Amino acid sequence: MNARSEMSIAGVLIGFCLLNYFYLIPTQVVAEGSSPIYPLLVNSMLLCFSLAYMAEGVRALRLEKSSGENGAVEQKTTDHTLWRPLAMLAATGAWVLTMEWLGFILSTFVFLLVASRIFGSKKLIAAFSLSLIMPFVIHFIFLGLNSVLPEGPVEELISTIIG
Amino acid sequence: MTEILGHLWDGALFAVSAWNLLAILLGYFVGIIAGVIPGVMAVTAMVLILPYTFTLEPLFAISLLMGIYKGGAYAGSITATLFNIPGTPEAAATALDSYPMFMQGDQRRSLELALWASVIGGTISNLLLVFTAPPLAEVALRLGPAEIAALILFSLTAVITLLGDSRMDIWKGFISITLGLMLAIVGLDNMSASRRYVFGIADLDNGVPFVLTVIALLALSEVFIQAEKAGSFTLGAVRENVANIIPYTWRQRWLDLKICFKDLIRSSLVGSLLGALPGIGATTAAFVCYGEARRSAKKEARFGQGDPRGQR
Repeated sequence: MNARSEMSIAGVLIGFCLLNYFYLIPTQVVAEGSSPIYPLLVNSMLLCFSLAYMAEGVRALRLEKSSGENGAVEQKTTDHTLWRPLAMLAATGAWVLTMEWLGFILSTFVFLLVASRIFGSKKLIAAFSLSLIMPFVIHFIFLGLNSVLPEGPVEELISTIIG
Repeated sequence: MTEILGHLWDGALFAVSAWNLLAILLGYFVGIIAGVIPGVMAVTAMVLILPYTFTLEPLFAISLLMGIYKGGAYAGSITATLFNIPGTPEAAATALDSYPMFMQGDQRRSLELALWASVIGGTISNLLLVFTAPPLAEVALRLGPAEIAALILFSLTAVITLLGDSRMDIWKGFISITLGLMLAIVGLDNMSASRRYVFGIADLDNGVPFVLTVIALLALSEVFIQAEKAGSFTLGAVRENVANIIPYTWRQRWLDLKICFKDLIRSSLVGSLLGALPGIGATTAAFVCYGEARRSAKKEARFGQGDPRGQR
């Protein structure tokens, strides 16, 4: 990770500390009737460490500039490969959020299909088959163990067929 | 002492039978499957199998559950070695060195080292607890809030030994510790039972589940890392990237045992002691032992790059 990325992360952390101090603690801690001492203490610690991290990032940036490293090339490479993890993050979030309404089988089927495309799978039939079979296998394993997975239209159909 | 040995002998006479050994094998198989799946773990498998044990013979049922627990305790290191995704939180310490060993082609060696560490460490801790359980229980009962707070502080400072050598890594480690403390604030306040950071979501009243958080952070982060790498190579290149499996001879096993023996004994003793104390748990014990092994190793040790002592 280059110095600019480190400084960006430190900046985000400092911003989060300020948000926490001016908004989250008053609304989510004090307003609920809880003492703010411990959250303020932890927040102050985070702010101090983030400032130290930022200072270290500035020092590293100065060292990079003085040694003339080609950080621009690294940044370009990072941007090129960044869409896959971001897409996986979005797909995972969508999977978790839709599971409650669509049920485990349907949401997992869609998630596995999307994930296989993100990972660049070219064997479409294999990816489709695996995405179709795996949710059913997991569903029946949980059924055998008397455990409950989020139910949707497919699970209701299965329970209607099984009786 | 003779009384304890007498009880042990009586227990062995009852327990060592073909059926009970079969139960242990079966339980071990179930435990391996449960431990390999991140988030499921041995305890979850024990809870799920528990209703089925009500109709079984007591010794058979206990042997089955013991086998599940032991299998699950080891199995977390299988996915930690092969995928850098620990199946159990304590296997996260194993992944630090076993995954680099796997990438260098030492798959057999890393899996066997983890297995032997689990077997030897488990045996030592079982024997230790059989003979020292009563005095340890008395000590544990006398621990008050101040002592538990000191233990928690000790656990947090033990993480510092794992942070790396550069100043940047140390500050990142401190930030990680503080973010973990922030995550632990979510839920009901222990003193006033008032809500903190729940954002109106009733499910967060009990806080963020620890096991799910650890597994999700470690497993999902590895998924995102692999997704980033996915575009840069093909399956053929993956096979080349992971070196061919290096054979693991008996001579190498003996050499590894000699190298790791001291760390193995120390980790077993420290892990047994820390595990017996309330509020610590296996995960903290695993990282403390890893940090201690790293701290006591010579400067040319390759911790984090595939050192066998890192898996003890």
